[in-house]
Amino acid sequence: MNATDQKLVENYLAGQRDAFSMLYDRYVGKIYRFVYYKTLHKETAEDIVADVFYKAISGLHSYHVSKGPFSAWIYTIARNAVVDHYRNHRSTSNIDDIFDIPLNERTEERIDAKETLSKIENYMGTLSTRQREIITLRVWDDMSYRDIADIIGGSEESVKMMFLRSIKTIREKFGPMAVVALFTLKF
Amino acid sequence: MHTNIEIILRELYALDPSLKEHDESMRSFIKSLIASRPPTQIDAAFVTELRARLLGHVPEPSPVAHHDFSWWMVRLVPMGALALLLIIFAPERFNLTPTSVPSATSSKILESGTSLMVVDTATNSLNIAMQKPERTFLGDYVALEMPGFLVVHEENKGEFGAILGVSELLQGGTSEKIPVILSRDMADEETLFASLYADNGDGKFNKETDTPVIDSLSGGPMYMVVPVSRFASPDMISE
Repeated sequence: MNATDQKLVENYLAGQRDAFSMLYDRYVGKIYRFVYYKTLHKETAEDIVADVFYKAISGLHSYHVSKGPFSAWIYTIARNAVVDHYRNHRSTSNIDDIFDIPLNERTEERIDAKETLSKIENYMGTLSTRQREIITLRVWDDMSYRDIADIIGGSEESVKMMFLRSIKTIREKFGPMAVVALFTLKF
Repeated sequence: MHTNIEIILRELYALDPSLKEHDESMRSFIKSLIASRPPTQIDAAFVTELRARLLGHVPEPSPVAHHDFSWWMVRLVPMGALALLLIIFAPERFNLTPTSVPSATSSKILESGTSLMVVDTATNSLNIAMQKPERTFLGDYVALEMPGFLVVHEENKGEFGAILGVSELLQGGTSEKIPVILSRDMADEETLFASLYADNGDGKFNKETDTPVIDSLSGGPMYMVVPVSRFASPDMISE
């Protein structure tokens, strides 16, 4: 039977270093994708993921289940790490991810698959950070609404409603077939 | 992917049945959203290397008790002499509890009541045991989010007094057995304060331009109260 996250945390704090290795294996892929969707650059995502896990292992003694699921805790560290990355590298504030950076300020070499970005930025840019996270976690990571709610906060129902509104926002702004055309056109 | 589209559509239609009227375009739309997912193959070598670094460089986990350095604790410091007497007659291993900041919050700049600009960094801690009355102060363990310094102060009526010594620049990460050469020998039964400062980038300590690392739990500067005793022994000093 797979140990719960909380049990692994307890085991690690009791001296079982392998327990953290298991937590790491459980989350490194998820956190990497979460960060990559926000940065769209492999090396940047790797740097941030390393930072996230250093902070996690250093701060594990402060985590307790009473504060919420472990997933919420580590995703919060990841979200803040991405924000810190952009704050440390840019003079402007209020940048949560790559989609908040104006087009004329983006450094092309720091973005993978520029073609991919150009495809998705049109609709991602119309959404709030929270909405973007719900879209990426539900559609791209196939995460359940319950798990998403644990990560971003709120109830399962509120996450569903926000997902619905996000979908409607994109459709209303671009039209139901415009997005289809956007992704099927050859560049 | 096909199953995922059906599930997502079913969920959306349950929330807004009117969307069912546009089923064909909704299907194409969700399919396109899924197809727009950027490729995110994580580098296996990166995963392996990071795991090794994490488990190879972090100290063994140990129980941590947060010590609330409240205003009252600072005022009670002069009674440290009495505490030392108790310690002398209680030869158990004495280990000062570390103050750690396991915060997941982002960095921010705050302005304290004394108009100090302080830096709240996400992962900082220090662990210092009782000192022998010698010229060299020894910090057992320091973890810093950013490069900084371990600073030793005299105690002055329960508050930080003059700085007696500053460590070499400590790089971000963990440091152990950090020596701080003081301007004078420590005195038996004296009490000192050890604090952390974040470097402003020039690599040199300057009390005016470097910023105290704060404890996000207490909101004040991160520090430890360090007693000095001629009876401090290797058993009392943390490994």
